[in-house]
Parts: sequence; C-alpha cells; structure tokens
Amino acid sequence: MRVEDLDVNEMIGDVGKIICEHDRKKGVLIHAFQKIQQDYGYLPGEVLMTLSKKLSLPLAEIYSVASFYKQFHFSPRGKKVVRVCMGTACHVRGAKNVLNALEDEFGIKQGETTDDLAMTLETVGCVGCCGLAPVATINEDVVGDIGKKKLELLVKAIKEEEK
Amino acid sequence: MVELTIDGKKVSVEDGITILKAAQMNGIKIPNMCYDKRLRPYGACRLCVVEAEKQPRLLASCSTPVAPGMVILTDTPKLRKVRQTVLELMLIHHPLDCPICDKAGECDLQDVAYEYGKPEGRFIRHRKAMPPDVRGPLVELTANRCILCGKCVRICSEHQGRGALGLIGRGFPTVVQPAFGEILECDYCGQCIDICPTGALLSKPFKFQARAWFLEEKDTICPFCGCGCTLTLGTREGNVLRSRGKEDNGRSEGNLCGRGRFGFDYIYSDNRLKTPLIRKNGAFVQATWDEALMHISDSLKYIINSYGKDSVGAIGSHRCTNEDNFMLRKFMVSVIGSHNMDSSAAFGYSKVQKALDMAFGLKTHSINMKSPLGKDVIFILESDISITHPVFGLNILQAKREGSQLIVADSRDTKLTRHSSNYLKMRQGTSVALLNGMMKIILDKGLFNREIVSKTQGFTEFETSLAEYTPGKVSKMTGISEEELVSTAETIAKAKNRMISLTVSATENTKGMDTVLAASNLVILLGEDIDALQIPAEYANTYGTYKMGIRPDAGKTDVKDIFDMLYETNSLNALYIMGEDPVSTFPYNSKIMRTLKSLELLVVQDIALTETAKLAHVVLPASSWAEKDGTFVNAEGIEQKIHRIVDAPGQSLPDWQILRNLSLSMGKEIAIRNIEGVSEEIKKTIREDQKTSDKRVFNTVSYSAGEEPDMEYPLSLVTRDVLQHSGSMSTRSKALDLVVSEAFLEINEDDARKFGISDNSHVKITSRRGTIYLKAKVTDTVQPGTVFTSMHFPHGRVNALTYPSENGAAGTDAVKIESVKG
Amino acid sequence: MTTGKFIRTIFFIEMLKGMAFTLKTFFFTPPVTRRYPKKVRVYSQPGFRGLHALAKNEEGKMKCVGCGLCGAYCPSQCIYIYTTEGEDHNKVVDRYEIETPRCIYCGFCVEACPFGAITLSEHYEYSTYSRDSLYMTKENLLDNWDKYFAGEKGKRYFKDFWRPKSEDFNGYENQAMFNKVKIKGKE
Repeated sequence: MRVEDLDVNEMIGDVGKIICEHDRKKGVLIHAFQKIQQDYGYLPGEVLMTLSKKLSLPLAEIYSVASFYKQFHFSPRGKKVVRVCMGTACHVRGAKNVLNALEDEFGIKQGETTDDLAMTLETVGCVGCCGLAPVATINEDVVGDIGKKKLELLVKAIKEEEK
Repeated sequence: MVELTIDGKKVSVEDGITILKAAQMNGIKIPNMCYDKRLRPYGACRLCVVEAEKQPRLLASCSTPVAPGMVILTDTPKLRKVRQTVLELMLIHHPLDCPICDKAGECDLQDVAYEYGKPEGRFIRHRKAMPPDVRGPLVELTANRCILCGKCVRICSEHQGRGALGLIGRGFPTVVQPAFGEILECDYCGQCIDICPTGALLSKPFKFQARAWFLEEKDTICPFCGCGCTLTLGTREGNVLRSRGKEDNGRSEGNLCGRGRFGFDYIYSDNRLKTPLIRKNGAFVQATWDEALMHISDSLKYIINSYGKDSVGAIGSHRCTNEDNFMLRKFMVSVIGSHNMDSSAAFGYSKVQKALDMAFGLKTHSINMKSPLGKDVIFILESDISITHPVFGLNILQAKREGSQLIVADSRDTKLTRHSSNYLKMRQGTSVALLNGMMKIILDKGLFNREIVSKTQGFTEFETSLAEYTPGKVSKMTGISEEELVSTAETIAKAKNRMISLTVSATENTKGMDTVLAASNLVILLGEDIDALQIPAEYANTYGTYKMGIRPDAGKTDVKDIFDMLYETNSLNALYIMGEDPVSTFPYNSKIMRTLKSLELLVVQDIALTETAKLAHVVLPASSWAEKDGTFVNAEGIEQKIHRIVDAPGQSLPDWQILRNLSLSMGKEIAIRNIEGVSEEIKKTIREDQKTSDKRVFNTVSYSAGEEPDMEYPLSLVTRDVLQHSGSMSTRSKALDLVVSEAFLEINEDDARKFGISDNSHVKITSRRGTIYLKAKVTDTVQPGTVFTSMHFPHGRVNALTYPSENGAAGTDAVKIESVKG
Repeated sequence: MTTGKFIRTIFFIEMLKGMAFTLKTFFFTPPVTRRYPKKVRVYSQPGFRGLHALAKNEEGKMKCVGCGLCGAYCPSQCIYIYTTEGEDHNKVVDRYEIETPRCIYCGFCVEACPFGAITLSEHYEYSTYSRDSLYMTKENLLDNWDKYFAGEKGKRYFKDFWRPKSEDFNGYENQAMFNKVKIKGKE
C-alpha cells in the first residue's frame, strides 16, 4: 500500500461520521501502521514522514503512538523472528539460559537483528503453552521443552533456514 | 449556573466547568501537576483528587465537571495520604539533583513535595540513567527529571500547533523526545520550558547562570513584534539573564514566542555603541557628547542657513518608545522647523492606515488579539501570522481548535496552512485578484448585505470594476481552481461572522495598500464592521511611532516622505535617523546607500553600529529598550510601560535625552527635564484614537502583478519573515543566531533540479537591481516558480534585490538564480 | 560635719587610700589581660565558628556544586556564587566568594549545605590591614581547608559539631536514602 493512497474515511468506516476530523486521523493510525508493516516488514522513517504529511499530524505524535506498541518496529527485521518466552513458568525452568545461549551463539543481544537480516532475537511475556516451558518460537512454530539437545536443534533449525 | 459547596464554601459557577477550575475561581488551591488552563484536561498526575460527598471514589478534579449540589472537600487527612502516595510514586523516578537543577526554587514538584511529601520512600528506586540531551540549540531535555505529566507534549501540539515532542515508548522507559530521538527542531518558542513542572526541559542560554532565588524579576514589554507581550526579565546584579512569561500576565497571558524568550540578549551584542563617534577623514573617531552635539548643531545650522529648513529630514523608529519619537517630532518641528518625518511604518502600517481611512474613515487601526475566538470563519490572506505575530497566531489556532473554520490562502506552506481547514494554494502576490474574484462571485450569487451596500458610496463603479474578474480568469491568475474559489467565497459569505486577517510590512513584498483596500471592500460588501478586518501593526511600537506623529502630515503640502528622503538623491541635505537601519531593512538598498552617501550630514542614533551607521557622519549611542523608561503601543492600540531594568553601557543615553540635549546645544530651550515631562506633553498634544466610524466607501482596486517573471528573470522572489527573527534587531541576539544565523534561499525541488542547485550549496541571485549570494535550501514548502528568502540578515543583503512599491501595490521581484561552483 | 570627717577631708586621706590601691595593683599584681599580638591564647574552643573554608573531598576536589542554598540562607547576604556550564555540560563553580566583614558567623550556610562543602573553621584571627584581603575568593577558601582542616581533623570536626546533610543523603549518587539513616536512628 502506498501511503499517499491512504483513504482515511474508508479506513475508519462508519465511526468516522460521529468523530471530529482530528480524531478520525488519529483513529486510523494503528491500522495504517499495520498495513505499512505488512508491506515493508517494519516502519521506515521516511514512510512515517509521508504519513505525517498526509494526515497532517505531527511526526512526534505518530512516532509516539507507534512506539507504544511492541508490534511495531523501526528497523528492518530478520527473516526468522525467534521469540524466547520469559513468562513465569519459562523463567522458572531456565528461559534465561536459553536466551543467553542464543545471544552467545549469534552474537546479538535481545531485540537485535543479525547483520545479514537472517534472524531477530526477541523476548515475549508468555506464548500460552506453559506446559512446554521453557518455550521459544521461530516465526509461528513453537519449540517447547528446550533442554541442551533441543537447544542444539533449535540453533540448527534457525541456521538451516538461513541457507 | 451550578451551585455547589467546596470546603464548606457555597459557590455558584458556570455549567460545564471542572471542579478544579471552580475551586481556583473561588480562591481554593488544589495541587496539580498536569493541568494548565490552556490545555484540555488530561488527568495524568492524580494529585488533584478531591473527595465528594456520597461518592465512594475520589474524583480527579481537573477532569470532573461540576454537578449541582456537589459537596467537595479538597483537603482531608485521607486526601493528604493519597497525594503523599502519588508523590512517592512520582519520586521513584525523579533524581534528587536539585542542587544542580536550574528549576530548583521555582519547581512545582519541589513545592508539592515540600507540602505533601515525606522523606521516606517505600519503593525501590527505578531511575532512568539518560544523559541530558544537549544537542538542540536552545532547549535542553533531561529525561531523568521528567515525571511524564505530558504538559510539554500537549502545549506543543495542542496550543502551539507544532507537535515536536512526543511521549515515546511505554511504561518505565517512556521519555519525552522528538520523533526517532532526533535533535529537537521546532519553533523554539520555549513554552515547554515555562510549563514543565520539573527541570526536565530547561533553557540552554540560562543553563547554570543563576539560581532562581538570586534573580530579581521585573516585568517589561517585549521589543519585537506588535503583540506587546509582557516579558518577565530575570536580572542578577544588573545583567539580564533570562526572560519568561508568567501565567495570566499581560496581553499575552503568559504566552511567549522564541524571540521574546531568547532574543533579549541583543542588548549584549558585541557592536553596541558606547561613545559618540564622529567621522574625521573617512574614519570614525571617538568623541565626547559635547563634541558630537556641537558638531551636529553647527552642521545643522549651516545647512538650514544655506538650503532652508526643508532640506532636513528625520526617520523615527518602531524600536524606540513613544517618548523618544515624540521628542524627535518636537525637535524637528520646533527646533529645525521641518516636517519631513517618516518611519518604517511607511512600508506597512501607514499603508494599512491610508487604505482604511479611504474605506472606513478611520485615522488609526488597532486589532483585538482575542478577535479570532468565536468567529465562524477565519480567512488569512497570504500571511504568516504565526511568524510575524506569534501570540496573535496562537489565538487563531485556538479558534480553529474550538471549531472555527480556518481558510488560508498562501503561496507557501506555513504553520497556519498546516492547521487550516481549507488551504488555497495561490500564486504569490495575487491576493487582490483572489479577493476581487471572490467578491465577484458573492455579487453574482447575491450573498452580500444589500441594506448596507446600497448605502455605501462607490458601489456602481466598484461593481463594474469587478466585471473582468470572472472565476475562470481569476483561477488563471491565482492558480486556485474555480470550484475552490466558488466554495470559499460562499463559505465566507454565508458564515455568521468572520475575520479576515493579513499583515503588511517592509519585510514582505507580496501585499500592499491595494490588498488592504480589496479586503476592506470584502468586509463592507458582507456588511461587517471594521472589527472583521484585523491587520496588526508590525513591530513593538509601530503604532506608537505613527501615533506620535512620525509620519508625513496629511494636511501639509510638499512634506517629504520616506520615499523622497531615501530614494531621491538631492532631496535632502541632512538626515537624522533614530533607531532605524534602512540599509538592511528597507527595500532597494543600493539606491538608499547612494542617497545616504550624497548627504552633507547623516546622523544615526542607534544602539549598535548598524550598516546605516557605518555611512553616518556622526553616530550617537542610544540606550536599548531594557535601559530606559517609556511606553510602547502594541498593535491593539494599548499603551504599555517599559521599564529601565539594567544600566546602559558606556555613555549611551535614552533617545529622548539625546534629542533634548541636542535642542539645547542648538540654542533652543525645550522645557523638558525628565521622562514624566515628555509623557505629560504627549498627553496634552496627542489626541486619543478614534475607534469607530460610520463611513463606508468602496474603492475600486485592480490587480497589478509585481515584476512578472520573464525569460531573463524566470523566478519570483518572495520575501517574508522567519520565525526566529523580527527586523534586524534580533540578528544581534546570540541565542537566536544559534537557530538561524544567516539568510537562506528556499527553492522548490523541481526548480532546484532545473537550475542544477543542490541543498546547502551557494547560489547567485540576480534581480534587475542587484546580485547577492545565498545558501540554498531545497524544500517542498514553496511552489515551483518562486523562491523565498527573508531580509533580516544584514550580511544576506536581500534588499539589494527588492524594490519599494510606492503606490501601494504588491511588488514581488523577478530574479534569476545560478549555482555557484566551487 | 564631725571632726573625724573634717580631718579626713583636709588631709586627702581618701585620695591617698585610693592612690595606694592603684599603686599596689598597677605595679605589684600581674595583669588579667593578655598582650594579644605578642602573647597568643594557646587553646581554641572546639566547635568555634571562625573563618570560612570550602571543603575538599578525598580526591582533593572541591565538594561544592554551586547549588546556592548557602547564599539563599545567609542572613547578611554575604555569599556570592557564580556558576557556568562546563565543557562536558556539567555545572562548574566559577566563583565562590564570601565577604567576611559582613558575615555574622551564624553558621546557617553550613546547616544549609547539602554536600557539607562550606565550613566554619576554628580559626578566628585573620585581621589584616586591608579590606580586600578579607574578601574571600574560591581559591582562598579552598586554601583555608588545607590550612585548618587538613587530614582527619576536618572529618572529626564535622562529625562532632555539624551533622552534615550530605551524610544523611548517603552521598550524591544515592541521595534520598534519608529513610535509612532515620530508620537506623530508630533502631
């Protein structure tokens, strides 16, 4: 989607009829971010700048909304997004070790992306399968019960995809 | 009206206001951190909680509207405990670096903590460890001290309409920052500094200069634009260290722009004059007052004897007080005997005045800063009111927020166009065509006020003169589509009430007297009063200068005005310039320089060695605005006192005193001893303004383009103000120079490509009158075919390109540009 | 008038008595005062509030950060502090000056100081022949610290006579640990 083609009224639907213009513009922001992220994989600065001009909302306000949500990113993301669960159950079962091992293996810190844009390492609160703790997800696939062996498999799985 | 009880006091307040406001109106204080009356209720700090009878929960008084019969308690043991806890939570993040924080002593958080806080904290400290952001030129952000009340973010986007700051992130790590953590680039109004309840946002020029309790604060009036805001200057041991606005103080009610807040330091510029200078053998020599005054009086006497009284002229100044200008007039009239007087108002306010005299029969014109509020439609004509008169601009933005329709016709993207409901992108300098076209549409559709118009003189001629302004033709002239023209004209005509506003000044070349005439035609046509037309006087005392009689008198013949004095060689033999710098601020300065060089005696009385002073035969050092008493009249026509706050450097004297001394050395006793004497005489001689009149006359105005671009000079040069500067006085301020310090040429991306110009490269600009070199700034805020620059900077010499339009028509200049290699 | 009294009057008996007393005390009794510039009192009162000094920390740097609380508190307004922004954007105290002739030695400045930077030493004799040398600059005041509070003396003096707030605050880094001190006190 090109930001220039964004139609505020269409996006907001019938609600738009009862709220003022400024709120209408603010209302479509998250929707617009999601669409932009779908296309680019992240929210590039220049695109947000165009969006700010298009909606005549200050860039700081747009950035402020986007930065509130963890789902929006401001730098390019890797092909594989590995999320290590740091929820209570996983924490108790040593999620920290899993994270440290992955950080050491790929030489990046949590929240960072490898230089070749192959992998992004993140932490999450809970993925909802505490029975399998400690858990990590690679894109949409869940890897549970990570022990030493599973960890090796996990690393392998991430690396394999890279090739 | 709603009746309720607050702390046992029965009060009756307007319906719909909040409990906090009701309490404040009745002198009951409720602590708060995130409330400001300029902003919408936010409810972030929770310090303003109150107890209401029969309500189990505590209410946030800043966002709860009053209800009939409410019984409110604002200070109970329970509330104190709650507030204490809230404060304890706030202080988890707040570092206790009060000893090195500039806010200490006038910090809201400190005050509240002193009243409610307890020394123990039950929570583990979670301090942000962010270094202060010192990258910006004027505002310093220290995220560690921030309590996230959001006031700065809200005043920036809601009130100032800028939105440079945002609350970035979520939870504990939230910080106030510009987008992407970049350097704060904004209007530098500094409103966020005043509103911050902690020391998170601080003024950089004032950083570590003095503790709040060492400062002595005195109110005075801002010396820049015509809004006449009240500045509270903080001085320590005779040095002005900062200026700030206090809530509800003065015409501006505490709002200030960057010039008022940071620009006061021009009085400490390096080239301030300290002694009189006399030119001997082509070079300036320091002289005593006696020598200088004798030199002037001897030369003046000789010139009067050999060429007559009328060979002497004087230029007054909007930078000087009423008293100074009055003394100049008195000196000219009773000592010299000449009426050749004028000021910079000739390029702005005088034109407006002339036009309004023709249309409404008014001798003076004042605005009302509050007039935009409550207007149905606000129509801004090719003016950057947010830049020229920032505080008046704030009221326009406020009106827009409160539901007025803001229509802006402009050739350049500005803050007002960004906030407008309708933005008519027009060609530069075509306001007259646009207005005429709109009036034609209104006439054709019969949307005008027949009753009033039928009584008005000159309607038939006016109607016939509009015949050629058909929407199609106007659309071609202005570049606005026909549909837009028609719909705008209809909106303006059908509105219940409306305000039309524009500015006219020496620094702008797209509007003139005929624009004002056309606008007043529109106002008369719609049956509105003069109040619908708001044209603010440009500078701090333009109004006063005009009122004091520094203008060519209408009644007298062969009085020389500024155009004769400065642009006609041999019209004068001696010129006395008080506080004005024609070479840098008036158009076509090469001609001015030629005229000034041909004079036998040029006396310049100024605070600094200006470009004009460098040509003078005698230069007299004058006190600046902070170093003398007097009065300024703002654009509203309100007289406000300015005060002597610091001592004048060297031997400089207030202007009125210099003129009195000069009269004495000319052998003429003027019975004036002190400033009160001048004020009394002003009271006796100057008549009060006439505010209303029943006269209505249509004046036919036809659109004439300025210099049309052609093959040789393909671009139109538009000159306007830039936000940080006002006239050439502010360019001496070191703080403002940190933001913009040199003239630049804004050029559209397409044109830049066409002429092979890249961003930040130097370009050569040539008009029929001169050539200058400027840095180019490639942008999309100007339209193709136009280039934009401002004429504040003496080194930019933009006025070498422009020409004065004497007849009052707008005068854009055709220029060509070339990129400079190497 | 009785005869006895008459005789005492004409023979100046009373005057002679008085002169004899003067003779005795002036020539044969040692003086109670000291001949000050030649003989100096050997002891000083501990905790005496005398000449000002600016404290240095262990690294030998000035403790004062220029918060100006002493100047705000000072009843005779004889403290002048001028600060500017340093190279790495920190606060630098350019000038710290005390006009000692105006000082009333109340010690409020010492109480107000959150860093224990300004002190009143036990040294009291600094009369000079020029007024200028009584105008203490930052350098003078720092020298005074070395002169009168060198080594352990400064620390002990502080502990004994001024409970500095800086210690309550537990140092600059962990300010607002005030509670801990208080709780300890309760225990």
